[in-house]
Amino acid sequence: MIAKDIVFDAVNKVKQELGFLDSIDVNTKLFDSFDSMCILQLILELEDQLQKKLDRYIQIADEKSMDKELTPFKSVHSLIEYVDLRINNG
Amino acid sequence: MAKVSFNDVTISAIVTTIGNHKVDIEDEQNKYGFDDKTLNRLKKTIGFGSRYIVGDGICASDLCCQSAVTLFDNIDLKKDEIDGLIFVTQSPDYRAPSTAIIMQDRLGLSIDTVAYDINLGCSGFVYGLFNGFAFINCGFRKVLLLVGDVSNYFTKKDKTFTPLMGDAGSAVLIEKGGGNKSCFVLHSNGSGYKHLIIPAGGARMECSEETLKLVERDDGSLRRECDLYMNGAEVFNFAVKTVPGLIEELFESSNISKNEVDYFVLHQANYYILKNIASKLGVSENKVPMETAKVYGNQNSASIPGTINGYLSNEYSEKLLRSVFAGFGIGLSWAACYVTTDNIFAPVVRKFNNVL
Repeated sequence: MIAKDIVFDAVNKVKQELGFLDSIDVNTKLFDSFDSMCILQLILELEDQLQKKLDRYIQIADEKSMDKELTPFKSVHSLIEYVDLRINNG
Repeated sequence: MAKVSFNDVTISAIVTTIGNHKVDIEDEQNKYGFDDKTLNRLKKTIGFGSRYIVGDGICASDLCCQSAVTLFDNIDLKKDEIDGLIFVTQSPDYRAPSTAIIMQDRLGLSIDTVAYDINLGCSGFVYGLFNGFAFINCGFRKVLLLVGDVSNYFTKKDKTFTPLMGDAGSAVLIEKGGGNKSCFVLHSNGSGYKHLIIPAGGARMECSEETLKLVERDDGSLRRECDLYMNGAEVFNFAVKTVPGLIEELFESSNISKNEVDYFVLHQANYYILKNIASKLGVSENKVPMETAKVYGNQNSASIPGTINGYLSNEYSEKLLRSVFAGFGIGLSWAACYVTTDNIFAPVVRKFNNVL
């Protein structure tokens, strides 16, 4: 599943850049431990990787990105589902 | 009614003066405690680069006056034809009176001039144009619109905000002519006022010793109650949700398509927001200049004219152009307009020279 690979790669890259060395799994929480700048960095990383792998621009950010209740960035699992949706509908 | 159109009103000059001190983000790295990784991600996501600021004691009105004098020196214009003077700012010279009235005298305009300030930020250029176009529509001969801010007035040491801000003041001449139709779409939503706010200094919370104290906030920034606070996440949501819809609304009300627009000059909030909006609109990034914040800093209400003078000077000086301008920010307030300009006076940005 391409969305899973992309999300894992992107989250790992952003965490490494931030100096977090702990490993991630699908249950890893994101929004509660990332500030808005980290989420923005993750959005850019996801969009970059999607562009490289699918050769088309798929927009990840929308008005729900930074919304505490509605954000798809709550966990790795929810993000994979969201990216998968964007790939199929984008 | 937030949708308005005007016939035969145009912009004939746009001049922008920027701060005379260039500061690179690397120069401020230690001041704000950014490590290399943080600095790199701020450059990548927000577009931190450099900014131009003024020294202590210089006001937005000083930058705007320099722009206005440049305009007077280069345009065939009788000052007594200026019937309206509008100053859009959040950094006035005084809490009262309106700085525009002081500038009426400073610029040698007639005492018959209608002059007042508009307290708006990033949407302010479009709102100022709307006021100016309405003045002309009701019979004023010419209107001088001044827009600008100096950031030191409302943000001093906030690492989430200060290093992004640049200082600029623009002068714009509006008059009858051109024969084209212009359209405006304007909105306000005060339910979001707390997301971008200077809490102290008004009647709700007067300035005091307490409000002048620099306090370390939850996000690690140093901020006073009389400084501007921004909830970055909420403002991001607002921008990506609202602006593409605003421009679609403008297309619909003005009966134009995106292919008929030469440039989309948007408020230069930050690189990512502009990239996101361009993608959502499905327009080429060549039509959406995005570099202003990276080079000059976020110039608040002057960022749209600042972008024209900073990056599109030749284009606007030598061509007939159909433009969409859109601003969005504090209030919350957002507005867009579709205007046609033809070979206007639009010189490259000039640095403040402090000779006035």
